[in-house]
Amino acid sequence: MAKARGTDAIQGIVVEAWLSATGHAEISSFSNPYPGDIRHHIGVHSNAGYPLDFYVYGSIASGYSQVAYLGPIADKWDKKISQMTGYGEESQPMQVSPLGSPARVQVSLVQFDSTWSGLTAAILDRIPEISVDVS
Amino acid sequence: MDFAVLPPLKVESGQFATISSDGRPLAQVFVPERPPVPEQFSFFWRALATRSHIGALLKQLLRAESEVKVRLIGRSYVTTFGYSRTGTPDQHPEDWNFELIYRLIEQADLPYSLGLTIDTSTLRDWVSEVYVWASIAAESGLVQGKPETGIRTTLHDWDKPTFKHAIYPLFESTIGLKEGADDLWSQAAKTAKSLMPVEARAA
Repeated sequence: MAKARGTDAIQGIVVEAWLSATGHAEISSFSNPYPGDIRHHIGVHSNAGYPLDFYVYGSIASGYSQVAYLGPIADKWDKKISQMTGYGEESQPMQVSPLGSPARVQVSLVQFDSTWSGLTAAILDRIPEISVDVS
Repeated sequence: MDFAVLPPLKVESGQFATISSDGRPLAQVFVPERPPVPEQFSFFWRALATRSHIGALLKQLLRAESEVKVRLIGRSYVTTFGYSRTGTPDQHPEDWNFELIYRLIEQADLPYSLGLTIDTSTLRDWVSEVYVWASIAAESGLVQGKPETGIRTTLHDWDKPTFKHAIYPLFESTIGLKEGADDLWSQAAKTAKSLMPVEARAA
């Protein structure tokens, strides 16, 4: 699966996740020599006609450590998409270690600052893990 | 009906104000700090809409010469498309071929969220552009989640009789107030005006 998606049909929120190796192009496998610009992207669409702060959380599925995030914590990351209207996106760089196949990454949580009720978890239909072949 | 406007909540890009009655939040107004067009603001409330509400709105909003953008978010799909049409404003509404939009609204699986941008800026007596978003569900049955319906427009358009004629029925029929809907509608514009930065006002 190259792109994973979850939706909240009532609140009008869509979350998409994918891995890229060059810019935003989706990728479903990595081969040696591995590219140096691998990223885990999380994109959010919202139908609300005003800005919202979104908080997105990505993680590597337990037991699939052949990929690691380049950041303070190797198996998870979180970022804020500030004052978003329509569409916003964040990403985290990754590296690949040739330990086996496949790699699995996922969206673990999406929250937004609701002006009705404060910090709220977006109730999304389950977003599938992204499975990427590494060879 | 008496409404209270709570002190505005400032965010990076503007201000939100909540309008409440008897301590119950009824609606909110967002005014951007630097609006892309003068006097723009958003007005929204917690409510579900139905297909028939949106069908009625479209009949009022769609003019022969307009550009329409739709984003429909369902449980397992996202659909976006744009539609541009040129014509003469005096054409009868029945002659306007917006069948694709109506078909999408009518046939998409419920529930879904609709984002609808209608730009009729080439018609001088009509609104420049209005964005409407709504949570659409069946007329009966429980819906889980936090539905919302709202509009983004400008004070300039708000004051046009054609605007109220087109948009107010959606507000009145979804806000769920036995009385006071007209007062709340007026309060929304007053609140937007009070929060509007001077430089954002139209000359």
